[in-house]
Order: sequence, then C-alpha cells, then structure tokens
Amino acid sequence: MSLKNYNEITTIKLFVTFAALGLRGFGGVMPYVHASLVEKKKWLTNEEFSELIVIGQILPGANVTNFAAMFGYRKCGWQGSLAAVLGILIPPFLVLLVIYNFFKIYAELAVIKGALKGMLAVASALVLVTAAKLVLAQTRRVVTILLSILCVTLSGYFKLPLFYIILIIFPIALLMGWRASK
Amino acid sequence: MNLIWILSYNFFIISLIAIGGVSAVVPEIHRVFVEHYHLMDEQLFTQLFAISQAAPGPNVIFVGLFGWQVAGVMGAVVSLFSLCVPTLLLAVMFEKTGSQYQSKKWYNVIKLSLSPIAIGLLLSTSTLLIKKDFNWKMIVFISVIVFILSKWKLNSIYLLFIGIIVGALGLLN
Repeated sequence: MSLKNYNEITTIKLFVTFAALGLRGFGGVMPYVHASLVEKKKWLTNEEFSELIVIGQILPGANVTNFAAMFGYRKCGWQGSLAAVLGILIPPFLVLLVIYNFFKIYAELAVIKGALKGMLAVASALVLVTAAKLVLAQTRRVVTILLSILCVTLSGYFKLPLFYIILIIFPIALLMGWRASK
Repeated sequence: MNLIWILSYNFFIISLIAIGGVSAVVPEIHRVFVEHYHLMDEQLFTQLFAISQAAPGPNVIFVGLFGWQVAGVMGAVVSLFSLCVPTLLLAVMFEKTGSQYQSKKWYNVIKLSLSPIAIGLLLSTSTLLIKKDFNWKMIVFISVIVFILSKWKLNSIYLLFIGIIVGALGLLN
C-alpha cells in the first residue's frame, strides 16, 4: 500500500477517530479534537480548525457534533458526516448508561445521594465558569453583562420560553454590536 | 399524547434555538419537559445532568440519557436524533456553501450578539442545578471550585471526583 493510500481518510477512519475523541474527552472534547486532528494527524490546518469552530458556535445545537458533521462532510461527504457524528455520540453514551445504572442501583443509599449532591455542585460551578469565560472574552463587557442579566431574569424568574427570550435580546445585541463594529 | 412524539417534537424545536450549546438549553429542556409535561421530577432531572458530566464525550449525551429515562432505548435514540439532526443539516449546508460566508466581521458580530443569551442561559442552568439542595455549604463549596478553576487549568473529571467524595462524606448536607 502506498503512503498516499495510508493517509487517505475513509468513513471507517472517521468513525474510529471521533469515537476515540469522544471517549477521551472528559470535561470537554474540543481540546482533544485540536490535538488529534490538527497536531497529530494533520487532517486540518489551524485556520481551517478555527473556521469550523466559529461556524459550529454560531449555529444552534451542540458545538462538537456540528464540528464533527462539517468535518466529516468536508472529507467524505454525507457518509463521513454520519460516521463522525455517530462516532462521537454512541461510545460515550454507552459509557454514560453504565454510570447511570450504577447510580440507579444504589440510589437510595445516603452515600450515593450525597455524592450526587457533590456532583451537582461541581456541575453548577463548571457551568458558571463557562459563563465567566464567555464574559471575559467580550470586548464590551458592560452591555453584555446587562443583557445577560435581562436574559437570566426572563428565563429564571419569568419562565419565558427560550424562543421569546431570543426574540427580545438578540435584536438588541445585534444592533449594538453592529453599531460598535462600524 | 405519545411520549416518543413529545420527545421528538420538542427536542426538534429546542435544537433550532439551542444557543450556547447543551448546557445553556438545560433551563428550556426543564421548562418544557419538567414544568409543562411533568415527565420527571426536578431532582431526578438535575441528577441526570450531573451524572452525564461524569461520562466522557460531548454534553449532548445528557439528552440521550434524559430520553432513556423517559422512554427507554427509543426515547434515547429519538431525543438525540431530534436534537442533533436539524442543526447537523444546517452545519452541512453551511459547509457546502461556506465560501460565500468568509466575512470574518459578520461572524464576529453575530457571535458577540449571541453571547449575552448564552451567558444568561448558563447562569440560569447553574442556579437551576442547585436550587433543590441550596444551603450555605453548597455556596462555599461551589466558590472553592470556581476559585480552583480560575487559578489552575484542571480537568473537570478530577473536580467531579472531589465533588463525589465531599458529597458522599455528607459535608454538603
């Protein structure tokens, strides 16, 4: 087999690669994606990687699966897209089912109840830190923070459906962002 | 109404407005399935989210676990499918026509405009998760975790282990 054939990306390789990424990705898959696809396998350049990330973030839905879908499509068409997405979803989900069943069996034990409480606290802290990172990435923090407070009030206190929240906040943010970019 | 239909229809809608990833739409998933349809109680809902943090892979697998709890294998498949496929189609369409959208400036304006929504929703998720177990020990513990994360770049799985041990010892009761 020639070297070229060996480096060729197939749907099976896509599935295996993304399955490995999914299974290694404790606490966020993206750093592993960069290390594997850009640094190790050189399937993507740094610029291509950042471009796909930005589009994945703008589009609704899970960033990583959007990334996998676009990358798979770029390399192998529809089958590639499907292979990458299934690869990143199915193996981690099977692991999750094992963990879930463990918790379910011992759900009534005080120790497990306590452990779940601790996990909830950590999960809450992780989400909080993600939000803080987003705030720090902003150039116009005051406007962002004010609009975020409006968003959290509409969501948490008024229990408004997300669709209406977006309808209210996105146009304001877009207008201000557009004016600032001029 | 049929459970499978409720799951697929609502996750489809949520997928199209899922700004800021899955963690950010947890309040919306909660509003629809827990408050409106009463598919499970609040405690179980937040616990499923916490458990899904302990598994590797993208956060979106939480949605699969949620569907599994509600309607078994079919529930899991339908929930994941409905949440992922619509935006995946959008992503592939974007990829197909991508060369027309090269203007970095517009990317950034849209991305920055979506940020306040993502931030607000994440804050909402963060409070929703601890609402049921709210006490001063939780606040102290969360502050410590946030402090640790701001100082050192630590993989979240280690923090979850700390959380499991601290919680199992009953220090948060």
